[in-house]
Amino acid sequence: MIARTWMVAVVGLALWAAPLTGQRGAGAPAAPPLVDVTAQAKITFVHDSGASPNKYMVESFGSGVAWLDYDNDGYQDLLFINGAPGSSNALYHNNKDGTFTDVTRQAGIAGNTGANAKSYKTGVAVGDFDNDGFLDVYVTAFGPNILYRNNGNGTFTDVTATAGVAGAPTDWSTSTGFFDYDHDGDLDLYVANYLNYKLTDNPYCGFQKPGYRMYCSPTIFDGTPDRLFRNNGNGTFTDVSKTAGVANPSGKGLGVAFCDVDGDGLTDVYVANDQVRNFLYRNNGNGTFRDIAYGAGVGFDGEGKPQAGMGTDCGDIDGDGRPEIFVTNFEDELDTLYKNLGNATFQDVTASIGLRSSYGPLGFGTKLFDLDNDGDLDIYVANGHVIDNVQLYRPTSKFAQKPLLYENIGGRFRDITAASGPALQLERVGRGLAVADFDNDGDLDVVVANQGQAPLLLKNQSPPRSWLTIKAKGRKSNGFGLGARVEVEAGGAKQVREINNVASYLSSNDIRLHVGLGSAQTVDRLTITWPSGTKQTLTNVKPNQILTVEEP
Amino acid sequence: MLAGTSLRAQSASPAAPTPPEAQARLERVRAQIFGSADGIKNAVPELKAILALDPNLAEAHMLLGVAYRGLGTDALTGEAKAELQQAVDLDPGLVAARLMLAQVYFDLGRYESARDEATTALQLVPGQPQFLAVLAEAERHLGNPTRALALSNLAIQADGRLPQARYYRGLALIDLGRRDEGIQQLQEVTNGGVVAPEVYLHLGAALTDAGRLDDAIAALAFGAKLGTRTREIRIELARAYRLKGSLLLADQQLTLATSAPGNVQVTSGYQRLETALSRERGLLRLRQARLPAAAEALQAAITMDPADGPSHQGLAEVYLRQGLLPKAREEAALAASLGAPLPANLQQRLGVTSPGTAEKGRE
Repeated sequence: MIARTWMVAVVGLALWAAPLTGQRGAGAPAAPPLVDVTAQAKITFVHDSGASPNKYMVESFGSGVAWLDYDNDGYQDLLFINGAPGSSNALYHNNKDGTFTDVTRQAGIAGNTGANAKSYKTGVAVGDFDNDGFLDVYVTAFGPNILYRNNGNGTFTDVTATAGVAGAPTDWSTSTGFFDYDHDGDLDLYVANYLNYKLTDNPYCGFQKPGYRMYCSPTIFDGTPDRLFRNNGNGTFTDVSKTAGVANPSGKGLGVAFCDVDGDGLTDVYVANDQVRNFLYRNNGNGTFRDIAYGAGVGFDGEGKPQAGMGTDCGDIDGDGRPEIFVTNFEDELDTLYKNLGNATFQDVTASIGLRSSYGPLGFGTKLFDLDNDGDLDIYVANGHVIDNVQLYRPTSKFAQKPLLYENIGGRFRDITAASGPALQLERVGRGLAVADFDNDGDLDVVVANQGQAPLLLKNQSPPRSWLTIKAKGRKSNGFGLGARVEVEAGGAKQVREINNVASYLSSNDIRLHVGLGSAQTVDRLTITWPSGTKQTLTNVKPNQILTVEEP
Repeated sequence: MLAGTSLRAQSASPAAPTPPEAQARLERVRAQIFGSADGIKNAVPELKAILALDPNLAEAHMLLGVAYRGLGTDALTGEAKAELQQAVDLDPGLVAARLMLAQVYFDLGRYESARDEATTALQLVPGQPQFLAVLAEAERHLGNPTRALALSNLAIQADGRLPQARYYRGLALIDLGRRDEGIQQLQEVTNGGVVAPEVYLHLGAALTDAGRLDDAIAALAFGAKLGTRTREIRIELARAYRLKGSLLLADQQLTLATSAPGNVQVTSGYQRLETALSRERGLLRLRQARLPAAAEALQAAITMDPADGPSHQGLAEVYLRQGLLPKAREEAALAASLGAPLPANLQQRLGVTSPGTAEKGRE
């Protein structure tokens, strides 16, 4: 299998190096793979972090962004979460012509009134919790979280109180996601919580000279338990964090990723914690989880040290059918790639796999995705420091930083940031990040939510290759097939993926599964194992289409 | 560290029993941790291996927290706290973990949290002397030395051999202005065989303040060999050498106390340490008559903490000796306003007078 994957990768590399004739003139310079189209897309949102001289820590962690087709018109819309108390989120409707229209007010999803007026909003999850066919939205905050039910008519209703998913008013909730951990056909909700923090307990950190006050280290604050809300199937949820075994009070969760690490058909949960070890909650299949981070080797880096985890994702990097785990970390730490060795054990292979350039920047949002449709997963990392005046203390550090883009070449990575065009050379304060094929042209585009700045919408214009996008429609399983395992056999290679929109930092990705196929002209076999256990096989599927697959 | 303290409070709800095999491994690890520094390093992977088999063993989490704290690196302080918190969460009756957790809160300057932890533990084990002592120290840090003294006296009444209680009592006495009694209390602790670096640090500082420089140097030099808190101890040792007139030795200590460039941390303790280092370097350069270097170092200290009276005081003298009288007067006024007025003879030379004397001066 590895050899076949190599073959695809080598073919992909050749195509990358020599763009297809007919697309551009011979000898023309290769176009950058990602181009900034924020302005032409008419996205005018600017994030408000609420930065103040008081240096409240919650000001420095930014907010997320979500792709979702809220009106089921077949195109991914865009939701930016805003930070400062009183600031409005921004929902942009995709006009299907490369532009977007701000529909926040009509949609009723601003999130800045009533109980939420004083909240710092942080993360976002997207999922159809009531299985009505429309995607709902959950917004996390330092303050009460919000569940918005999609009314199916372009508007949303705040159903937090009825659903019982606000969390404690003092929770500092961060990354979050919908998943069906108990395989009962409806979506449950995982919410990472960061620190036990109060604005009234805000120590002065940094030198006492005016202008030198800095955001404090999270070390001085205690962690706080994450929350797991089980969907009762009637519009309400039950907080089962403690009984399910995910309420570790020492956690300082910032990033969450879902994947089936051990191939048992159950979705496991990985939590990237800041400055304390990460958690890997293995799904026991009976409503409980067991933190296997110690045994699995994913709690610490390869030297046994805890890192400052921020964003995270998992996916099969090396084509062996097992998902690796990737975590972005603080400056002077590598972003860590844990290779899945099987039997729920992992090895930190970061330094040997081509990710050394991640040592300098401070990583946040990230996604493993097939940027160039060559059949393997590449990596984008949004970077930015948490301390706005860091240069007063470390002249070599910067608040705004360049991102990182790594190309997967046969299971190893090459840093292609410098060769990836002007959009990736600008320094920004990167936080949330999400990918989707917003223009339905067959490649995955990127949006980055920058702290205190305008976002960055990057259109993918990689050379054309074959692809397939799968839109799952569950029947016994949850409506969008979250958690389904998909095997795609094409061009002599097999890719194993999961339908899953939860990854990165505070953000939510295209709920459809996008698979790059290289030069394959047909998908020989497409096998979907639904969360219900139903197995479905399609053969001789045409590539380059958005394929809706209904659970039998 | 756990002398006289049962690991679990009898009154607490029983935790799930630890399987015998795991218990035997834990016993071996505990012996390692309290045996030697190498033992601590070796204990960490062994504890992780134990937790890989059963992540819900509270005592293993506790020992891992103890091991991380024992390694003495700032980078592991958060993880030490995390392990101890998980231990307490898994077994709320594991009072020994609460004791260690309170110590970590001390390390982080989170004295209210330390007080909370000690208070909770005392509800589980009323009158337990180690928790009384920890509570005393938390109260001292929170500005209540009288209550600290009372609590440490209670702890000593409950266990007269408890060095921790005597150490905290000594600190409370010093805070109450009863320095000689405090020194005597701390000396009893060191004479009793305790080799904790923080005891030598505070004893040395008090002896320096009392002008007993040879005794201070002996205490601090011993403390500097103990492996942790060495930067603080070396800065204090440099002060003692400077006051004794051993300027070369003072310089050597400051060189040893200087951290690697770029290793900036955001904890308040780190910043206090950097301020102290710059201040001491400035005062040493002043004594060496290297006035530009003295000014630079003292200005660096003031950059870190504009309210550092002794640095303003030193800088006033530098400017005076440089003939920069307006700047000297400005710094002298600032120093006086911060409780560190110049000595009378220097005030006279500057033509200024400040109320009070140089009680909180740069010595």
